Amino acid sequence: MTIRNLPVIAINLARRFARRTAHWWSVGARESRGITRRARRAAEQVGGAGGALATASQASVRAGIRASRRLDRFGEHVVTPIREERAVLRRIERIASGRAPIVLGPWISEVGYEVLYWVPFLRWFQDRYGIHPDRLMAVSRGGPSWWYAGIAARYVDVLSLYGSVQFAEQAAARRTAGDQKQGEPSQWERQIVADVCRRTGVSRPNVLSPGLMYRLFRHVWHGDRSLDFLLRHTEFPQLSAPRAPDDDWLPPTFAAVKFYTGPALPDTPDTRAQLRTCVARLSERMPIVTLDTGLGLDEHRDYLFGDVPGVLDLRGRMTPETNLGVQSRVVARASLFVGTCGSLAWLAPMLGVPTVGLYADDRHLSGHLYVARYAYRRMKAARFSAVDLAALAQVA
Amino acid sequence: MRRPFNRWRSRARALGESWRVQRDQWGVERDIERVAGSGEPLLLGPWTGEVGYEVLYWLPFLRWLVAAYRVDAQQVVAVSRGGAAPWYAGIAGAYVDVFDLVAPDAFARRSRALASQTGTSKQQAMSPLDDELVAAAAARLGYRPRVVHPSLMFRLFRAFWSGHASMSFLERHTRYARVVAPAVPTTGLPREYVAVKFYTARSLPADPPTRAAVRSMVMGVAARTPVVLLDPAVRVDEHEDFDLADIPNTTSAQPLMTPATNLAVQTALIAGARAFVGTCGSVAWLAPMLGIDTVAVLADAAFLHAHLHVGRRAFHRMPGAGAFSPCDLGAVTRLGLTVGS
Repeated sequence: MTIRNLPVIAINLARRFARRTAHWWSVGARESRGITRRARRAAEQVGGAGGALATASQASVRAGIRASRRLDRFGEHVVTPIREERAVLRRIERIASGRAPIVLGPWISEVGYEVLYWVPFLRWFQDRYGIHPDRLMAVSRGGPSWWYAGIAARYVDVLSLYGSVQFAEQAAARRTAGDQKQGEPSQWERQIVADVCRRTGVSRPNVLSPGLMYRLFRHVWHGDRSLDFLLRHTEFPQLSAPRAPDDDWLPPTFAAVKFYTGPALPDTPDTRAQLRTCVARLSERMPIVTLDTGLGLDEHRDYLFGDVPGVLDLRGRMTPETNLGVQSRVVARASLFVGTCGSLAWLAPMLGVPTVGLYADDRHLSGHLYVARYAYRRMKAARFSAVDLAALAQVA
Repeated sequence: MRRPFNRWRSRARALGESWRVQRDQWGVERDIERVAGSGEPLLLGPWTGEVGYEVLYWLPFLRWLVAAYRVDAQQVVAVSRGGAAPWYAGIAGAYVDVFDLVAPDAFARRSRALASQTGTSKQQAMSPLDDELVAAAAARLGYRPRVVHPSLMFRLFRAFWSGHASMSFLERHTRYARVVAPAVPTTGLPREYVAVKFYTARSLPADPPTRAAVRSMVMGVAARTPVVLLDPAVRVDEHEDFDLADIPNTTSAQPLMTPATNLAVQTALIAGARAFVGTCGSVAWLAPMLGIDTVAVLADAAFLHAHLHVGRRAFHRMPGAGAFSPCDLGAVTRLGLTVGS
């Protein structure tokens, strides 16, 4: 035994301790339920024997029921998430170990989750396991290669392997199958990894799939793990976008605007009218560059404001393979970002751009707003304000 | 060698932290169980702190406590201040108002002194003032009940507010429910109105731009609908009210209130309003529980993240709750929209 093995021994002992604790916990919970049942039966039997005795047994039954429920809840909300966390982290450790190249992705789902969770999670992964960027290859879609700068030395775009039509069809099929969040790697994801390896000449890589990140953080989104847990598995540094000569046409001061339909901002006549008013008023103060792509790569559709005076757009300045990279570069140059609360609205504060995210329904936003605000405060990001359209209707 | 050692060390630190949080929580739960499970009459309070914490955490916590420990409401007396009795319906069978025990002026003076001495207005421990209030309430009741002090709730939820406990932990120890408003005579008030309550806070500072924006906002609302201003009859904390009484089409509700009834009157007036607009805090958390659509105005959300998250989740899940819409004044200005237009 060398001193080098001590941490490994300690970890193995801790794991064995955790396994035994979990085992005894479930045994204890089972026993406690048995005791409660027996106590209830006993209480029923002695019910008529005397007031004091009956009251005492009822009190102990109640205490037993409370203890049993508490154990169940503790198991459900604490023990299960911790066991799942350990399982996921063990898989992540296996991926990080050795010298094989690691494919990060492929990321083919929502932009919001990518910027708010996936990229910070990868930054944590790279730093935590001390992996050199040369070993890492990020795979995403739409050209956001610079989001992965400092994490992975190589980037492959899914849209450089497949046409945008095929990508959109596969994405629609995935949504129809109910796999919006890339839970388990699908057949198509495995195909992407295989094609990426063929293209880059990488053989037998380890794959860090987004499904692992979703498994690790889903208990945070469901409310069973703390915010602190998420912040311990992510790193949020400020980002800076590369400058490109293609961006010289942008006005020196402008607001980047991106409004798209989704659960947070459903497409209704009222919403359209309110957004139009906002954009029209904003255009009186500064030029506006709208980031609508017209590409239809996902289920969201852009709200269009081309007829509002002073509004510029990016049409003709991007292709499916470059659309996200171009949009986010434009956001980085803006003095203000205004858009649907989601997607690039989570990225803009990280780029140092003050951001206003608008929504009409915050049912699915609450947890993300909570995370984002703490993360932004920690990374000293630009100011982020989420505004309910209902409030604007009342007071502005 | 260094990397595995650092990993091991940070894992041990995280484990130690989780253990400390769990141990603290179990400690508080044991204390709660000792009091609530005793079967003796209970005194809930005395609540002498901020209205916001009372509405958003204390009442739901008490609702959970009486349900979890099957406490008979007739065995329970709530002690709060300013006529908050309607909020405790279904939780406590009796209510004692602090202002029936101590004069409002003396209470305000002592509360401020205590806050400046301890550096917080939160009841983290039993204070001499709390001791006196409990003794006075016990003398009035004629028996000495066991005390469920607000410090139990503050200790229990501290880990959540600091981000170390999960939302489900808070939700397992709270029950959010609609609040029923009392019937209060509203002579002299318009039939249809918007209830407005603006006071200074860390989230809405008293700087000139904020004052101007709030004023402009209330003028805009009053131009469309009569406004009833809920400026209270007594001020017991460091918050100040915005002076809006000279705006046309506004009516102050102050004549309807006394220090001992002000919260009951405000509750009734909010419940009868078409909407509520006010500082994000205090009764802005109550209005959705009364079924009233609420615009909660703020200029700085820095101290509100956790509360906004709790409020949003609770109001979405509460049947019949009003819509809760936070409004960031800075964002409205940045959008080029004129507040109150």
